[in-house]
Amino acid sequence: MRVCFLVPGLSPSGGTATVLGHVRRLREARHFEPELVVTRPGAEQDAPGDLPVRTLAQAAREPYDVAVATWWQTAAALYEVPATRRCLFMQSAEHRFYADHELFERQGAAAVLGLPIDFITVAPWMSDLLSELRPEARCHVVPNGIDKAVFAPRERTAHQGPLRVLVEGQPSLWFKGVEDAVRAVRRMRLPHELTVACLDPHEAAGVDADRIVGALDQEGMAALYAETDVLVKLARVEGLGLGPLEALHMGVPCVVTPYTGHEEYLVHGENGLITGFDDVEGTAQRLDLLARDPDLRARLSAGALATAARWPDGGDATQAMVRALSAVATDVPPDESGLALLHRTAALSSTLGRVRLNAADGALTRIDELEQALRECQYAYGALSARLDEIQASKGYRALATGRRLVARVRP
Amino acid sequence: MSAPVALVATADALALAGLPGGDPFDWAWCGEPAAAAAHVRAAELVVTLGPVAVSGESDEGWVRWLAGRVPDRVASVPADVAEGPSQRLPQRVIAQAGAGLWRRAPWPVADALFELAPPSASGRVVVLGRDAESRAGVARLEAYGIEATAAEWLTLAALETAAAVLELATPGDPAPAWLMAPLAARRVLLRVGAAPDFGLQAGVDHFAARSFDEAATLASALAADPRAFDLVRAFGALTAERHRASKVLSGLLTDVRLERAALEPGAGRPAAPRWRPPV
Repeated sequence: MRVCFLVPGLSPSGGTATVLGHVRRLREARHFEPELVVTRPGAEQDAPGDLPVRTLAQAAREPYDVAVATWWQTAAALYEVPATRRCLFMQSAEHRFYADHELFERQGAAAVLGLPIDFITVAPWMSDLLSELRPEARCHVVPNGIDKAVFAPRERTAHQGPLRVLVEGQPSLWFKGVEDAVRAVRRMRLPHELTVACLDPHEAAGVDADRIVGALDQEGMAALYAETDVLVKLARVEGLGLGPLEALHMGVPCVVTPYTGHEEYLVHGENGLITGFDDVEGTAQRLDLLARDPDLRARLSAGALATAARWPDGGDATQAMVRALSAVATDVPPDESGLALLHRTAALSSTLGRVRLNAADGALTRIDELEQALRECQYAYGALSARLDEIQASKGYRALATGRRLVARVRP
Repeated sequence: MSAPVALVATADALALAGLPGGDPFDWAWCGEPAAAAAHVRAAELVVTLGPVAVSGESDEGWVRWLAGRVPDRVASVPADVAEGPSQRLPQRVIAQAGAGLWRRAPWPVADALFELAPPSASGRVVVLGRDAESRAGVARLEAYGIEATAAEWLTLAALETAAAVLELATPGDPAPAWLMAPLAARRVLLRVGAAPDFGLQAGVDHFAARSFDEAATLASALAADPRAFDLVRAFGALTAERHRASKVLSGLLTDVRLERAALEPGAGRPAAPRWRPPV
């Protein structure tokens, strides 16, 4: 089966790593010929040496059995490569990555949920959501596998001293909640050491951590988890949240906000603690509880390893991907009634856009009024200045001014 | 068998934030103060919503979940696990704002709200805010041709008939305790002048309007094509799911048990009821 995975580029990210992992393992599966197709011009230059990477133009030459979009901006390319079936590999509901003012990106990302294609999701919550919105849509869940050779339990000796806290996430991405996490850790009353691990440490300037580490490969992250007592992840948007999953595999309990996907692995009081959004004090208290109670840490650590034992590895995940792609390739073509959602998304976008434009129009009208008022003030100021000059140049004014000066001299 | 959790509140509050009785929720008793005495004595965790008291019972060790901003003098010292064992079980205060809180959160959402039937009228809006503002808001919405009612506090009856809830926030005030209830019931939440809080994402699970007219335009769009808001409603319910009463109360029981174990090293750690998805 010829399958192309459409990716915008190959810069390092959790989402890209998941796709590359599937492509690598699918190459070892019988009857599968997976390829990466980059949709952004020039992105093929970042190709990893061990994988076939094509441009869109190159991909147009030979038909695929299945084309897989992996990010909303690659969805249009589904219709630019010759493919018998099309699907979207959903690692999140991507419109949530954008802030309220990024209206166009947000609506573009939401629109892919209405495409008449099949869906492969990394967590059940996305399938449930699609089932609610589009009962006819076919969804296959392929959970992210963890490399259990790398993220393997290591002997954890009882650690004396400050609680070693790791915050994982890129601080420059608002939805990763790194700032919230750092603030909560720093609000702890008991001693602690805070490490922040991110993709690009250059973008972590100003983060109040004892140590900032960046661009670690999987082995590097595993070594970091091995010297960590607790992982804190206060993300606001996640598809699944791989960092905590990796940490659980190393026996590290996690304190997380209830982002979408956490419910797949985090059980409050069994392998970690779930804390509320925007609750700095409450989160700090939970961390103090962990700092104070080594028995609790040990129990949560055992719970973490039990969770990890049940979690699929990369091979399991790719087997699930094989089943999903096979179903996509052989099922009848998807129902097109999802297009209604697409049109409704567009309709709502137009309403929201109109609201923004009305607000902008109102602001522009006010600016025009203020500019007009400013011009009138400037005109009045100019007229008054000219009149003042005339008065000051008049004989009467000059005589009066001279008289005042004389009076001032003769006064004691 | 006595329930380990007792939730005490007025009937109106329980309708928005409580649990139905019986299986699978038989681990929690929910009721009004007048009927609560025996249950709070037997419960391991007592949670009260709003300023209720149970006659003859001390509130030591209870979780007082209040609405709004709690004055500093009301918020008692939280369970301070950092400073060693205490002889006294602390009172734990939860509210939407205030200093010295044990937790900061909106009220939980009654499990039943997730199953609330859709409203019969497609565009009815309930306007919530201070009395004068909400009444003025209703008049302005009616000028847009939108059916609306005013209220100072959300009730189940208002929610049942509404397609949307419009919150007129007062600058500086915290989010209302009922914040998650409309989302669970798949009503569109429109907030005017409010800052996002508690994990809400404007434009994804609700709308944050910068002016009343902006909110009115959205309410008009909702009346014209309710299904255009399906995506927002679905994400609203997903956001509210984190505040489902059965999840929240079992989580609080776990928290209290963990704190007691830390404060009293000899104390056992019986497992809290594990949350099960509704069938």
